[in-house]
Amino acid sequence: MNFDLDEDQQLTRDTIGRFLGPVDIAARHAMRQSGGGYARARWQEIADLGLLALAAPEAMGGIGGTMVDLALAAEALGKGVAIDPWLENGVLPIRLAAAAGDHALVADLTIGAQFAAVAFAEPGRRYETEAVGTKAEGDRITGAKTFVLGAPLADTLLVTVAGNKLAKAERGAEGVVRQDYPVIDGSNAATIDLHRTPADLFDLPAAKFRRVIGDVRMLAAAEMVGLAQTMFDDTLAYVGERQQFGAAIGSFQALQHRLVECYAALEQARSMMLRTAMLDPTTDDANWPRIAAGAKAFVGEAATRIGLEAVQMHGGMGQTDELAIGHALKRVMLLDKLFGDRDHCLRSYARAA
Amino acid sequence: MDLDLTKDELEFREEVRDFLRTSLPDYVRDGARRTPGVFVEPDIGLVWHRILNDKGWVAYHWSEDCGGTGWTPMQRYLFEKECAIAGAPALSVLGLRLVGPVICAFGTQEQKDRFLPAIRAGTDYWCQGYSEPQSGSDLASLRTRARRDGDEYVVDGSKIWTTHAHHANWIFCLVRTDGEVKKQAGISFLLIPMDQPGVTVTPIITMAGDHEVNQVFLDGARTSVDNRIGEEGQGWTIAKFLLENERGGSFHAPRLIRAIDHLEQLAGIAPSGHNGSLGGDIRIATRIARLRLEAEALETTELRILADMAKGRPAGPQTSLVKLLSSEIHQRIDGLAMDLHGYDGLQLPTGRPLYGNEAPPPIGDEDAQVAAARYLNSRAWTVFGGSSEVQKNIIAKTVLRL
Repeated sequence: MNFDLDEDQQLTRDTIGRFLGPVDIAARHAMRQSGGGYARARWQEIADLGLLALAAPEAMGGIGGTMVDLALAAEALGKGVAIDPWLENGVLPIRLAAAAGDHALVADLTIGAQFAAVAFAEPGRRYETEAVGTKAEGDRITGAKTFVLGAPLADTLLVTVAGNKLAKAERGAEGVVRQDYPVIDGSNAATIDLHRTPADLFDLPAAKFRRVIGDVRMLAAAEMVGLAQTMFDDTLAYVGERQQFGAAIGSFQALQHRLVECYAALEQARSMMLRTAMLDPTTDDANWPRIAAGAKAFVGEAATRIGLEAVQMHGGMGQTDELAIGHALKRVMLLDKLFGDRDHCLRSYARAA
Repeated sequence: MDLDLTKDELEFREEVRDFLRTSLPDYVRDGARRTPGVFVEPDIGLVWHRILNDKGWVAYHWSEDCGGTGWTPMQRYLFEKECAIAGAPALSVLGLRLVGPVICAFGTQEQKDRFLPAIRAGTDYWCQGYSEPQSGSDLASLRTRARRDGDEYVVDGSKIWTTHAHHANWIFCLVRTDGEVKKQAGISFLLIPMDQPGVTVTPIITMAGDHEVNQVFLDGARTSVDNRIGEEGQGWTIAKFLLENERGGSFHAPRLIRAIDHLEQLAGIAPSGHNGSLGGDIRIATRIARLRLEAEALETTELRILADMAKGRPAGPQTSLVKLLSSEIHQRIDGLAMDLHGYDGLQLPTGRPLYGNEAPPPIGDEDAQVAAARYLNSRAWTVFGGSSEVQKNIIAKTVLRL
């Protein structure tokens, strides 16, 4: 047994920390207000740091990081309240492309030559992941998708299609109608209607898709641990500085006990993240999505609670869009629902037990 | 003991219902429903304000000698409940509920004549200068200073979290007029016109992207000595009177119960994703049920306070209990609403307003568009008007005598 970071893990974490630096709210607002809510130039830097290759298999030119490597990277991105959609536009499409066997796409995504958005959610289907309403007819696809994160910036759309297929379509392909909209973390998503859109179709066996969903849930949990850590650290610092009634508000027992509860929840969340990531190599693919769902539900609850306490303890300042804690909480709220909210994930965990 | 209404009260309720049916414009109701902030904007709120004023009902919690309706507490409750059921916007509290009753209780006849009719008519729009950057929960430590200069006060300092200061033409302020005495004893209550060089308003944007609150800078702002309410040094007494009105002046449960009804309807039509509606999902159904019980109990707590008020007993610290409970129920309702909307509930539109022709198109159900913004703005309920922590301190000290 060993909980120490190895040299590469330490290096990755430090690299991410240096790249992100302290949260710059003004720069963040500026990027969110620019077209698409993010910048491809910055994405290229993420690729150049090797963070995308980390998620790609060695056989396809990637680094083939372990789940622990990836979780530590996700945690570091969360800790820096990264604006970057590493999980939803990096890890998710890369692993889907890998699962579908599209080596060329994996290579392009890994070096940042292409930026892909994944259309998995369908209107009226809530968190169900099996595509029903999107269908292929020959090499053309028809259907409706929603909550396609990062779609406004994507060159490539990866679309889940009924019958365990994955379709790859170009952003400007015939029959694609996109309605962009901002989501809670400030990034942009879209609804996408497809009408006889030409696409490359790949087989995506249900088990392989579920495996990828498990990965994303695991890493969403890891990012939330980092986000929760920052919300906690900032709050701890604030209650030490903020003076009311002639004393730092952190000297009040009513706040101290709540902070201790947050601390306990944070440590439990980190333990759950590490445990689940370390269990990956010995867990079969059928059970992996289940334990990842459990981890995400557990961590999501802790991170949300810590975030709400952070906002409350920051008082009026906590309500504003000027602090890292608010931006972190909004990212937590998105991750907490990505591939299923807590109810949904707990059900997955319980049902298969 | 019973919950029955008298014949007069039943007739009154009918009259209110008739009025709401004929007088509440659809676009005002729609604007209220599609406002993600805590307060409606004047383009919605003032329209309703003026309709109520034309009816003679806008100052429904003022006494008759101040131009109010002189209604009993039960009439006020029935009126608010019917307004909630009809989906009428909550009116801006700043003039009607906060400074109006203060002027009514502590003002001179001249002050009453100058200010009260303009509050009723909606021609003056007020904001509140209480909190300061360094004085939030510890309000009495406020530092904004006012010094006498002939017939005027000159005010220097800064107020923060000032709701709708960017719409207001008057601000009522707690200021320090004496730095030598105990901190509460050196405070006075001033009315200051906003339209002057010494007053600057800077917006503060919320996590949801809404502009409701501001920071107000007072740099040599001037106001006539005639605009001081009460005596110098009486400000803290007035401040506490006002805060009790802010916390206990209205009934929360009717709006909460209506919101829960709305959630239940929504759950009934929202797809579960696999089979049937979300309302048939036992976890959702029991969450709604639990909230409903909480709000129903609160309604009865409010009615018990009302019964005391009707007998002339002051509500006092009970208002803190209602503020504490209702704020948390508000937040839980907004949390559940977001959960019901699934992925659609994660949209956070950047443009405002979300009603009218310029509004961006919603993704999915119309209500989903405001869900996230409302949830985020709803965090303020447990902070403004005295945080939950402050309410608990008040209850511990004055009710439990700890």
